[in-house]
Amino acid sequence: MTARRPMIGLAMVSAATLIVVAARLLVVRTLDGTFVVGWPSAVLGQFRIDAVLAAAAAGAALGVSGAIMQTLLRNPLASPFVLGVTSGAGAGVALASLAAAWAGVAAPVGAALGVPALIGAVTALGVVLLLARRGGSIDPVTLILSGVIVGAIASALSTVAESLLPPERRGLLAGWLFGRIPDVPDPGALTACAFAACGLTALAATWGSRLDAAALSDDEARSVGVPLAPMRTAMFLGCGIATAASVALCGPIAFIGLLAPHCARAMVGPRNRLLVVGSAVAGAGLLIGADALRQWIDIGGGRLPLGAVTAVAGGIAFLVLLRKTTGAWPR
Amino acid sequence: MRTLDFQSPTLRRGAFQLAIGVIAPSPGRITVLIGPNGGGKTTALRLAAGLLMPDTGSVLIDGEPVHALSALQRAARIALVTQRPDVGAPFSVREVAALGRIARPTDAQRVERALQRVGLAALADRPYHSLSGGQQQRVAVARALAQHEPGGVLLLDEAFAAVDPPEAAAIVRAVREEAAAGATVLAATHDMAVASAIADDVWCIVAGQTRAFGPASDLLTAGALPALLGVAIAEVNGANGRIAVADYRAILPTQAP
Repeated sequence: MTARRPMIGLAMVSAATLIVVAARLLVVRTLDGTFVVGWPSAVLGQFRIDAVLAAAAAGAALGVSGAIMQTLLRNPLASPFVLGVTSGAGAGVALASLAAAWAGVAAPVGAALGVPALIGAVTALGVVLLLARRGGSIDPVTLILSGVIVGAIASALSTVAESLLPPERRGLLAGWLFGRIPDVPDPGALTACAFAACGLTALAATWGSRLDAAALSDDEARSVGVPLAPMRTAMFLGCGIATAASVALCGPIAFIGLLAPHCARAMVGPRNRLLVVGSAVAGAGLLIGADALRQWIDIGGGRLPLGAVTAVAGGIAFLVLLRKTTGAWPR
Repeated sequence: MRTLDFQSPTLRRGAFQLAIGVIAPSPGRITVLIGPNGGGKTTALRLAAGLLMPDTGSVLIDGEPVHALSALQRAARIALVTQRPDVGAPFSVREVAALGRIARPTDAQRVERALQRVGLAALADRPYHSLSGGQQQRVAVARALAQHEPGGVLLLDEAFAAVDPPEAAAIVRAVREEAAAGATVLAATHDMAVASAIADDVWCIVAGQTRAFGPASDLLTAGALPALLGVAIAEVNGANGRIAVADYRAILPTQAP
C-alpha cells in the first residue's frame, strides 16, 4: 500500500498519538474501579507526565529501530524484539546485576543500566546477523528463527541471573524484566533514551533516500550510490543504542518495534524519510496506549504488567503479519 | 564519453579463477558478453561496476581504478542492471525507478522518461510486487536508465532473461539509443538471438578466460560460435540479417519415433 499524501498520513499518526497522550493524562481508573476524567493534583499529575515522557521516549526508540531494521534487512518481521536485541539488552542488565551482587556492590540503576544493556543488545544483534548470513546475503527465514532463538537464550540467561540473585535484590530485577513504564523515571536514563530516539530518527530521515535504495539487492544498492557497508554498520549500531536506551529506561518491551513501522507505513507510505519519523511517533503512541490500557484494565490482582500487554497484543499481530507476509513483502 | 578498460584483472574465489586479459569495450558500441553459465560473465560485470576488487590488475574508468571510486562517484558514471533485481520494500513502480536518481538531484522528468522508454508509464503507480517477472525486469532497466548519464557506462546482466520478445524490444531500443548517444554498453546474455539483435561487438568468456573479442559480424556466426561455446549453433534468416540461435535439436539426443 502506498499512501498518496505522506505528510497528511504523518499528521494523522501524530494526531492519533496526541489523542492517546491526552487519554493517558486525563483518564484513570481509581482503586474502586470507577473511571475518572480530569487533572489530578500537581504531584499526581507530574507522575502521569513523567510516565508519558518515558513511554514516548522508549516507544519512539523502538519504533524507529524497527523501521530501520525492516528496511535494511528487507524483512517485514524484523524488529528489536523479534531479532532478540531487546532480550539481549535485558540479559546484559540481568548479568550486570548478578555480577554486582557477587562483587558485593550496588546494582546498576538508571542511566548506568545503559552500558550493560548496550553490550547485550549489540552482542545479540551481531550473533543473529552472523547466523542469518548465507553465502553473502541474509536469509529471511533464518534471520527470524535466529532472532527468536537468540532472544529465548537471552531471556533464559536473565532468568538464571535472577534466580542466582540474593532474595532482597531479586524483586527489583524481576519487576524490571517484565517491562514497566516508570512513574518516576531516572532523569539520566530518560534523557539518554530521548536523545537516542531523536538522534536516530534524524539520522535515518537524513539518509532517507539511501535507506530506500538499501531495499534493492546489495549490488543494485551499491551501484546507485549507497555506501552500503558503512551505512548498515552505523544504522545497526544506532538501533542497538536506541533499543538499549529504551531497555535501560523501561525494561525489555515486546513488539512495539514491530507494530509501529507497519502502522506508520499504512499511513505515511514506504519512503523512509517520513516513514522513520512516523514510526517513532507511532511507537510513542503505541507504548503510551499500552501503558494506558494497563492502567484501565482490571482482571483482579492489581494492574497488568506492561510487558504482558504488549506481548499479547503484539504477539497476535506478529502472527497475523507472519501469515500475510511469510517474511517477505506482499506479492 | 567514458572509457572502460579491463587491465588484466584477476580474481580467485575458491576453485573459480578469472583472468580475462586486456579488453577495452568501445564507447558508442554494444558489447555482448557470451559464454557458458558460471564462466565469469557476471564476475566481469561486477568488476566493471566496482563491486568486486580484483586480486591483481585493474578495471579503469577514464583511467581511474573503478573500485577506488566512492559509491557516489561510481553511480554517476556506471549504471548496472543485475541478474536478479530485488526490492525489499512495498514501493510503487515509480518509486523503484526513482532509486536510480538518489546519488544526484532527483529529476522527476528523467524517471518518467525512463519508465516510458521501457513501456511502463501506465503502470507507474502500481505496487512493484504486483508486477510479473518480466515487468519487474523492465523496472530495473528503467531504474538504470534514470541513473545513466549520456555517454556513461551501462552494464546489463541478463536483462533480457525474463522478458517476452515485445518487452525485450523496448529494452533493446533504449539500449541502442544510449549506445548511439555515446554510452559504453556491456550486456551479458545466454540468448544468441538477443545477442544477434543488439551486439556490435562480442566478448566470449569461457572458464574465466577471454576466448574471443571482436565484431559481432565475425563471431556471432554458425561457423565461429560452436568452437567458442562448444554447442551446436544454427543461423536463420531474419528480417534484418542473419540470426544465430542455439540448435537444441542438434544438442539433444534424437528420440526414436
